Amino acid sequence: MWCSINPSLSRPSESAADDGDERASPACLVADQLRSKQTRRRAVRAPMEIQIAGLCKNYRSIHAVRDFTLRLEPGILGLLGPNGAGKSTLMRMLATVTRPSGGTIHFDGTDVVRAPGKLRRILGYLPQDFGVYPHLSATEFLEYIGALKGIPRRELRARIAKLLELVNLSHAASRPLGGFSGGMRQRVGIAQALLNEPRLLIVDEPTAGLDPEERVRLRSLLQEMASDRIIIFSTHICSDVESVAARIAIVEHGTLLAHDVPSRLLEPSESLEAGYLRIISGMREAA
Amino acid sequence: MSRVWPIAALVRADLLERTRCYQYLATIVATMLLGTLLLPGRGSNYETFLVDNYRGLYNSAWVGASYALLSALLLSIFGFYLVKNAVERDRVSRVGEIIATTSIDRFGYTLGKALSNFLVLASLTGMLFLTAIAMQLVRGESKSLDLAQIAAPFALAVLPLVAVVAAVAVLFEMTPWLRSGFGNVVYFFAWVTYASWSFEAKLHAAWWRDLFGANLVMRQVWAAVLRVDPHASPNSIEIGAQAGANVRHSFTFTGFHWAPNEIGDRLLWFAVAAGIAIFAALLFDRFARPARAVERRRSSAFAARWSAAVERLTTPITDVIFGSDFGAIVLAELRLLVRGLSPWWYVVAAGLWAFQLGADAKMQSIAVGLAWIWPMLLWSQLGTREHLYGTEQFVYPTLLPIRRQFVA
Repeated sequence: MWCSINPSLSRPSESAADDGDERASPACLVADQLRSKQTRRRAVRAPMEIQIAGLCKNYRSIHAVRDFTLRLEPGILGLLGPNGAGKSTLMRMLATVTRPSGGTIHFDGTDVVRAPGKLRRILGYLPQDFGVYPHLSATEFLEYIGALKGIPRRELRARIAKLLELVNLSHAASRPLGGFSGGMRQRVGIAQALLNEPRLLIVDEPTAGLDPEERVRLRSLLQEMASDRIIIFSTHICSDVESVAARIAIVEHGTLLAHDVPSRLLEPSESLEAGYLRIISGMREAA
Repeated sequence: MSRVWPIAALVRADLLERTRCYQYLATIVATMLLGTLLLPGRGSNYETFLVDNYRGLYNSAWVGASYALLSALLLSIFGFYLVKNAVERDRVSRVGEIIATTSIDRFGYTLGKALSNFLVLASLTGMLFLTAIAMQLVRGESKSLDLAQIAAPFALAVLPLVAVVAAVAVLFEMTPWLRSGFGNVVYFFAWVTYASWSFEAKLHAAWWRDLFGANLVMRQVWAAVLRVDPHASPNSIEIGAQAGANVRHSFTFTGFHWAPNEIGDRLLWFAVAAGIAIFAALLFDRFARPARAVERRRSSAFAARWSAAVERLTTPITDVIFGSDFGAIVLAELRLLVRGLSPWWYVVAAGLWAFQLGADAKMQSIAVGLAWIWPMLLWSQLGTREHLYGTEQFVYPTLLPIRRQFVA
């Protein structure tokens, strides 16, 4: 249970331990909700799968992503690569924002490029660089995105309240977003990505602007959610994914250099950062 | 999932975002101030609506007719430029990238934006309606206030018009080559052409030639004038500010009587607006192209050059503005203007220069006009670029940025 695994997720003032009921904390409520839905899903659904095959994206003469093939199953995939490696372009294609120049993306057998609707219904996406409406409050903005995601109005308000507590923004729920700091906006972005309880969560540099405590909270939340969801965690900061990623994919120049579980990707007692640098430099030398 | 709820939420969010800023408040105030000028007093040196020099008594029927006509003209041109940023806001702010991953389809999104545009313009229409009521009371020529007589021409002439303007604004935003300043120029010329064509029809325009509702309103006013003066000329209906007109004040317009087919004709424009919005939806790319990639590159390049130029400054503050690096800033501004321009821009510019040189006296004014308009699309970015592309934090901490940039 994630709130007992990582007590830092619940702030002392919010902690359920204060009243002796651990489940009363908002983080636990969301976790419970996710877990009960997870149990129901297990009963009716086969494991989800996303198959990327020969994916390419070209911007005129620039090959942002080339011949990218990968199979994704529930769990956290840490997508690592230097700036400009093509991670964000790959994320945008997976999130159905950009059409690939070539190749296919299949979600549970459906061609996502041709029929993106099925994926969008279960997708949560946090872009690397996103904006907000500065004159809307956090609640209003989340209501807007929630409505566009098709969440019924009855459920939306309660879900927003829980998510705002989860990302520690309840105190600022009715303030205009234009006055939010970068970290607060990022947390609004995280909340909108989680609004529809996504089965596929794509987060592109989600820890940008977050303070250390919030980074830990986010990582733990993602880890807890990962058991029956595919989470793609794109970053160029190794420590962000080191402790949580079930699999690591390393990308450079739009090409998948390596993809495996950390134990097979890394040397014994090697840190992810050291392993990442070894793989990147090895590939560069080979090239 | 209900299709109405996401669209309603989109309209609500869009409206809240637009109406909670000072610009909207300023627009409302400006609209109402302008509205006070639409009903000149007896001592004024201009008139706004005359039929063969007949000006009606300022009763509710006449006030409604003249305000509706003038509001239609004003909102059809200024209203377009006011609302032509609904999709652009999502594109530039990158909220669009989140919207693109949601379940709302392109028709829902486009319809929502068109509805939001319509409500913004309808709110301005409402302000002009309130101003009309106030001005009738201020002028005091008739103390009898008939709200229905003022409201009806607004509802039948102006609201269908702004519905079409709202949809056309979305269409322009969805069409890549009409999205930018070029689209603004195209709209202006299209508006002038349509307005001339519509008013040429005098009192016999078919419904599709009378988007402004002007002929519909004028037909009834004209019929009332004929009852007073059978020799009045329909060719001398004047709309807009007329200075020094010989006004005869002997005419009372008693009100409108709308036939069902006239009302039906006006309602058809709502269907046209819906059709335009649906067509616009077919062009919607769901924010597949990153926002203004070229402009962002240009802005970044500018910021870097600007900072480098200012860093090199060691001269005293009095020499700063026209100091040795002033040339570097001018060069940076110039590079920023032209960086990323399509080769076709230069081809068209060269063509316009050649046109000016080769044009005869009759065509000279057109050639010069076009040559002025073409670079205007570049110049129009100068004042808002830092705000638009978020480079204020690079540029404004430098020494005397506004003064130096303005001069450059």
